Amino acid sequence: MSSTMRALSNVDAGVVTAEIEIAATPTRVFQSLTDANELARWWGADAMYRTSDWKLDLRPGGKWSALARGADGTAMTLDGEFLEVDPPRRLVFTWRPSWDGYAVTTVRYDLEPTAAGTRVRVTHSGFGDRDTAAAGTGEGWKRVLEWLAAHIAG
Amino acid sequence: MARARASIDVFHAVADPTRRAILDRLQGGGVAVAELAAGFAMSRPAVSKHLRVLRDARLVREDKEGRQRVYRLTPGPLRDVSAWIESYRSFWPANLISLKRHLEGRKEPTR
Repeated sequence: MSSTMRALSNVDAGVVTAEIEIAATPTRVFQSLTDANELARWWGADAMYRTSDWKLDLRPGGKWSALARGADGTAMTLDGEFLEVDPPRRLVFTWRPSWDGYAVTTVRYDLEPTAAGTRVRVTHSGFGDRDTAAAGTGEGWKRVLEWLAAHIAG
Repeated sequence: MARARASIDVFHAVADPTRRAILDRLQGGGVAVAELAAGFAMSRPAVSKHLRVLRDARLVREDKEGRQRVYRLTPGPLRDVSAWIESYRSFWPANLISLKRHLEGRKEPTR
């Protein structure tokens, strides 16, 4: 059975989700997500940025970091902290890229075995988390986007 | 990819239910500050404080019209918030495809 090539994504309530199916076991996928040498080989893309010097202290509370170089040659950094390390099912870490002003968001990978291999689902959350989430509402976020949409349409 | 993130003030500004209600109210057009304050069950200084936060985040504009101060919605800064999130909408699929190619031996797409 051939796995699909496309990756889907959604932006809803300030959360970005994306998923893909890969013809490899969850254990193998998990390794690619957490091995410094492998990450340097696949993370990013030539048109965006490439990474190097990955350092990972793979345990809850452990830090991770990497260097990144933009397509235009700009030197950037990436770092964060592991929140949940549950091989080969789940990996959760904070995400703090220099190019977003070191804003902290959270990335979660969920790996699920399928007939073809593994379904990898990414949930990137925490946009506007500072208080928006605490204020209690995906509803609040939806409203924000409505104001914007009305503004653009108007 | 590298995109300046939206000001933290914008998030702070829209995090409060009263401020969201003010923005809702202004969606229909400019409202005089006295009239605006009358619509909320709180003191006028309290409303003014919320208006200041919204002004600092550049989500509203204050115009002097005669003796009145009129507030108008200027939701432009929300565009930055939206663009910031959108940048990840294109990033993650590209990144997952890169992971897939890595794990599947860089073979060509199967379809």
